[in-house]
Amino acid sequence: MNMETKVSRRTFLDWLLGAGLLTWAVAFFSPVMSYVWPAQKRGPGMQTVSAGKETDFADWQTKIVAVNSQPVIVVRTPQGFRAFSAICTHLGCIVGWDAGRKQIACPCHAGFFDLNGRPVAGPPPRPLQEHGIAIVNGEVMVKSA
Amino acid sequence: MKPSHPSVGRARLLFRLPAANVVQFAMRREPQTTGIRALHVILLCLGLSAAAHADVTNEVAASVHAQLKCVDCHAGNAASFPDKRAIAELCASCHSDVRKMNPYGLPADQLERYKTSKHGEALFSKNDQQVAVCTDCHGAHDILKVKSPQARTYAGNIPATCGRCHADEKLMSQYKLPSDVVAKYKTSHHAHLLLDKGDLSAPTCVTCHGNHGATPPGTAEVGQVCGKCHGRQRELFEKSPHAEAAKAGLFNECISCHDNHAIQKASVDLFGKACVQCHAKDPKQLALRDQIVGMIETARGAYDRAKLRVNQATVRGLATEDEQMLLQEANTQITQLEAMQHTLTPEQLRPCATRTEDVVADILRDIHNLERFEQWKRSAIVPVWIFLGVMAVLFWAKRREVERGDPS
Repeated sequence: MNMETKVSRRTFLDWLLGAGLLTWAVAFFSPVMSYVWPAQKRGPGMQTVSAGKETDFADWQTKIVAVNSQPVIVVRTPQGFRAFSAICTHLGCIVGWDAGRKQIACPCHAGFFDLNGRPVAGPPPRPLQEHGIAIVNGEVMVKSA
Repeated sequence: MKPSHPSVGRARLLFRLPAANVVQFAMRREPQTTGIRALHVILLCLGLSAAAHADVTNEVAASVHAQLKCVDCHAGNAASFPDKRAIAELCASCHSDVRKMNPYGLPADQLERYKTSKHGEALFSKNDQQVAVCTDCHGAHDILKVKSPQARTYAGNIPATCGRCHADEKLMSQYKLPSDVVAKYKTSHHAHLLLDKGDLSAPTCVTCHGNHGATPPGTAEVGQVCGKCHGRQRELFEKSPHAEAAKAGLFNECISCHDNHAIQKASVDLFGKACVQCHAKDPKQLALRDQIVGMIETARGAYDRAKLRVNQATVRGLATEDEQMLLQEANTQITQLEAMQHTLTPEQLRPCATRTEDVVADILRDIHNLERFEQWKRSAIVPVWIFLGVMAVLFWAKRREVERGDPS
C-alpha cells in the first residue's frame, strides 16, 4: 500500500464531522423545503376534487367521487352539472342514481331525492347537501361543501 | 260568495241600520237568544263590544282569520252554534268553497273528508256531540297556520291535540277505545324522532290515521300505510312467506312484529320477541330465524370492529380517508342487509352479508398496512439515535484533538 495516500487521523475525523453536519443540515432544511415546494399529493385538506373530464359524462350520467373522505355524487343534466353529498340523510347509506326516475335513490330504504337534492319519497328527513361545481379547462371540479 | 250562515246577513245589516231598527232587530222573537242579542246591540251602540271581548279579539287578531269580523261567524250571537254540526257547516261555508280557498292554496274537501272519518260519521249520523269537530283540533278564535309551532295542528303538537280526547279514559271508555294510545306512541321511535329530535317528518297520529278523514287503517291497509314511508321494507315483505299469510288474514302485516303505536327502533332483539309469538313450537322456523340473526350479527360485529379500528387509527394521526369511505360502503351494505331480512330468505341476504365482510376485510387490511408503516417509521428513530451518538463521539474526539494541539 502506498504510504503517501494514507489519510491522517485528523483529516478522517474532519470528514466524518463534515458528513455528519451535512446530514444534519439536510434533515433540518428538508421539512422547510417541503413547505416551499408545490404540493403534489391529495390530502385531507384538499378543497376541490376532479370528477373527470367534462367529455367523459353523457347526459344523466353520474359518478361518485370522494371529497374530504366523503362520497359525493356528480350528475350531468342537460342544464349542467350538479353535485350532492352521496350520504343519505336517513341512515347514512351511500345513494345511487335511478335512471328510470331520473332521481337520486337510496338503496337501503327506497328514499328518493330530486335534482335539487330535496327528498321526494321515502324516509329521508332532510335534503342532500349540495356541492359547488366548476369546469376548469374541461375538468369537472367538485368543491367541498 | 258570502258565508251562508243564516245569522250573518242579519248581523251585517245590523251595522248599517239606524238605531230604531237596531232595537227592532234586537227585539225579534227568538226566546233563547233575545237577551244576548239585546246585550250585544247595547254594547255595539255604546262601542263597547270589542272591549267586552278583548281577550277573544286579541286571539282572532293573531290568528289566520284576522281579516274576519266577529259577526262573520257569530252574527252578533255567541250562541249561534247550537251544536257541533253547525260548527262544521259554518267552517265549510268558506272552506268548501274552491274559489275562496284557491288564493290560500288550501284544499276545499275537508268537510267531505271529515264526513268519512269516525268523528264525522258519529256527528252526522248519530248527532254525537262529543266527537271532535273543526274547532277541537284547530281552535276557535286562535286558529294558526299548521307550520306555526304554537298551532294545535303543528306536527310536534299533534299527539297532545289528539291526546286531549284519546288519552281521556272516561271519554274513551264510552266508545270502548283504549286511552293509552298516546302514551304508547310517546314511547315509540317515531315519537323520539318527532318530540326529542324535532324531526317534523316523523309520523304523528295523522300520518297514519289521516287528519280530516281520521280513521284507523284496517288490517288490509296497514302495509299500505307503513309503506308510504317504508316503501323498501314493504316491497321486500311482499317477497316473504308472511305476505301470503297476511293475504289469508293470518298475519297483521307490519304491526304483528313491530306493534302499532309503540313502534320501537328495529333491532335483532325484535327477532327474540316477535317470532316466538307464532313460532314458539316450530324448530324449523326458529332455526331460520337464528340463521338470519346470525348473518346480521356477524356482519354488524365485523362492521363495528372495523369502525373501531378506523377510529383508533384516526386518533393516532394516521391518514384514514380511504378507509372512512369504505366504512360508508360497509354501512350501506349492512343497512340494506337489515332491510333485506323482511324477505325471510337467507339467499337474498347473503350478497349483502358477503359484501359487508369483504369491505370490512379490506378496511382491516388497509389499517394493518398503515400501522405497519407507522411501526417502521418508529423503528427508524433507532438509526437517528445511533447517528446522534456517533456525532457526539466525533465532537468529543475533535475537541480533545484541538485541546492537545496535535498537528497530525
